[in-house]
Amino acid sequence: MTRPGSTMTEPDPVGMAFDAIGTTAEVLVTEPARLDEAGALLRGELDLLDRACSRFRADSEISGLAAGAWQPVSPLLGETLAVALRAAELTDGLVDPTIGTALVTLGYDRDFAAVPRDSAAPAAPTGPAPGWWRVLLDRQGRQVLVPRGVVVDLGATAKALAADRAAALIAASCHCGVLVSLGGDVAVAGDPPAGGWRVGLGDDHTSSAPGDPVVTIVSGGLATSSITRRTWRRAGRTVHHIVDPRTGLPAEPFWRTVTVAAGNCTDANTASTAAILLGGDAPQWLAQRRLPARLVDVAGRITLAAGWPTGGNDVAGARWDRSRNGGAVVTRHVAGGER
Amino acid sequence: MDRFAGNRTGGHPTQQSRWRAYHRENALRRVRGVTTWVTAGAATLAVALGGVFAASRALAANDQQNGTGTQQSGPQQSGGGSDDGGQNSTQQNQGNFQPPAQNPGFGGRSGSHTRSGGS
Repeated sequence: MTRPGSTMTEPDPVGMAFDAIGTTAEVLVTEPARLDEAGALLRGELDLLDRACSRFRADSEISGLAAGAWQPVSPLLGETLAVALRAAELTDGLVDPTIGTALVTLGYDRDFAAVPRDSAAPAAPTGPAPGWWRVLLDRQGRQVLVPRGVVVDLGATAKALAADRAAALIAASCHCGVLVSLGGDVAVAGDPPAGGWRVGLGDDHTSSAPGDPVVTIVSGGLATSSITRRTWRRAGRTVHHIVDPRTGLPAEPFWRTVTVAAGNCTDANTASTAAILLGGDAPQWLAQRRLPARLVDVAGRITLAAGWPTGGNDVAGARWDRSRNGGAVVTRHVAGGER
Repeated sequence: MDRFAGNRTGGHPTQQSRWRAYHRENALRRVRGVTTWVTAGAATLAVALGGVFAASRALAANDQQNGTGTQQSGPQQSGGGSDDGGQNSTQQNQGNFQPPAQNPGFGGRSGSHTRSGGS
């Protein structure tokens, strides 16, 4: 690859992928010689995260927190809790870390690979989540009080935070451009490759389909939330992992997949999760926050918000359906869906 | 289309009450920015402009720490709080979403470095 105005040819980024924290971890670097170091740094970061924040490990720090009393926490768990509470505040409680009991009741009480895919037993409804404001974190993020009866789940934000942390760490250590993807939550740092990092989009981060759009980013993060992955069945009904804290139930299907770009992966993930829960209100909500997004509804219709680029199948056969908020939100109905 | 209209306006009265409490609590958190903290001696007292809310929160926190509290059965009033150890209950990293420095560009059809999708 050649940068504009440059006569030097740059090598393509190189990367590696491995399974970690119940999903796929991937790291790419612009300096091939630093790939092994980058991979080791990512593995180390994910191991720290898992030991601190996994509710599926009996020996994790968060599993060991006693309820109903102030407990000291490590800097990493403190940061992760602070990020989760900030996400809740920014979304008016839509992305709420106190949905743990609802997830457990729905059957997501172990690493997803071990969750029974079809259980005859119905899930007893838990009602609304206890509420994020009941988790108290001291000003320095060094002590936390989780009330009795509240199960904290950090899954919505911890993975994205880990991507941000790892990307920054690797860029600083390896002095090159880096992309970290954790299950499709993407963070980049350092100088990007010529033309930027190209990210393919779809319902599934592990498999592509003909016509999948590709976008480029040069900084920040990109995250996709989808109700088509991490699903299982209870009593004949399909349930998924994005729980609405207002009901304690999986979000009602409106958007199939939402992708958001933001200044970092954590904010992108927070917004994409909130968008799934917001349903029809999501495009305007995203536009008001200047978060470019691509939303695909359950019928395959695509809505673009806040400057998301058009191109490829996102415009092929499209017809203008509506425009609002100064043109920041457009809905394009793609003939026959995307695929 | 508002998928949640039914949840807001219908349902069992108890459910409606919990909904109202949930959103009232969120509204209170938004005015937390005017909360002022004063340290006095060994104890840290929360003095909020909505002081009555801070006081109830502090009592709840103290109950929890002293082992006299029971599982909270509903949303608690908020606006700050304290405990005997002088820890201020608050959140960190306040602020707004950080939009991208540069919006995504169209990536064409030349393949991709990675994928973003459901996981």
